[in-house]
Amino acid sequence: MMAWLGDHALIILAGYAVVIPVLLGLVWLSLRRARIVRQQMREAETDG
Amino acid sequence: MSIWEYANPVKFSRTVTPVLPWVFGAAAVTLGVGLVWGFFYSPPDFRMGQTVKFIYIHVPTATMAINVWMMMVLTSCIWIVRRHHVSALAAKAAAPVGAVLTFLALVTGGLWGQVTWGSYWEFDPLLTSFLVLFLFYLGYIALWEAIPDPDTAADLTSVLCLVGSVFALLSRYAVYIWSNSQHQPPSLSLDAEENVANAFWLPLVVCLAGMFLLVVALILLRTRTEIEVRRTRALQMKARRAEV
Repeated sequence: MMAWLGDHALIILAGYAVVIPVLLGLVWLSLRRARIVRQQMREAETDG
Repeated sequence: MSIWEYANPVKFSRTVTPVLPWVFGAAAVTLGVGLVWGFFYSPPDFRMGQTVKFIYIHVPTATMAINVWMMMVLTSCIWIVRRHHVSALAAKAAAPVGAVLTFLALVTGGLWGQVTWGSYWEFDPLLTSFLVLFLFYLGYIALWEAIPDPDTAADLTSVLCLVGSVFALLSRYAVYIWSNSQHQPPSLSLDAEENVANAFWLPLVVCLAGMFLLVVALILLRTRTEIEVRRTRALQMKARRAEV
């Protein structure tokens, strides 16, 4: 893959290596926060 | 049926919940196809060589970073005029998404610039406007957190959003205003002759569509979460008052 990508292989791969994990991380954190908040809302509804 | 029905938080949440998995799924498929197509199957450019592959990550993140701010401007205007809380919460929910996209566009742009221009950064009108837009995103998020009263926070952040729209528009149109800009002209245009070649344009459009779907999914999810945060706080306050 490095030969096929040419002289700037590392820098191209670095770009993709930053973007894909950051986007996946954003999705994961958003889903996690949604799950936690939903659980807190259900507990508040039960306590009420 | 009117779009203003979705200003009702309950109706908004009930509508969004079944739709979300489909939008996330469509985003994953579209973005996956676009990135694989662009990275593995698109040819090298005659001038940039394989570094043209940055186009599939840089252009979608930069485009959506600007579009998210313009969406925040629209929802802020709706809050100012009609005082719909869902609208203010949508703007609040979108800000971290836009900030992340702006950051990614700056990083990928810097890497691409190092290869193409020989430097990671230039104080070029477009790049500088984009950096200021990133700072506006951070300021917007900080301002929401700094003000305890949600309605006051929504008012002030709406004004900040309107002011920041100047930099969003400058980021989009700087290449047309300043002819000596370092940044290359836009890759996409309504004029087909100005577009990049089809070999790059087609996977790029697929990546753009995928990024758009991902942003929509994230904003819908995060807006629903903000609505539930408000509801939880209201229920907790009600429980505390009942105890007293």
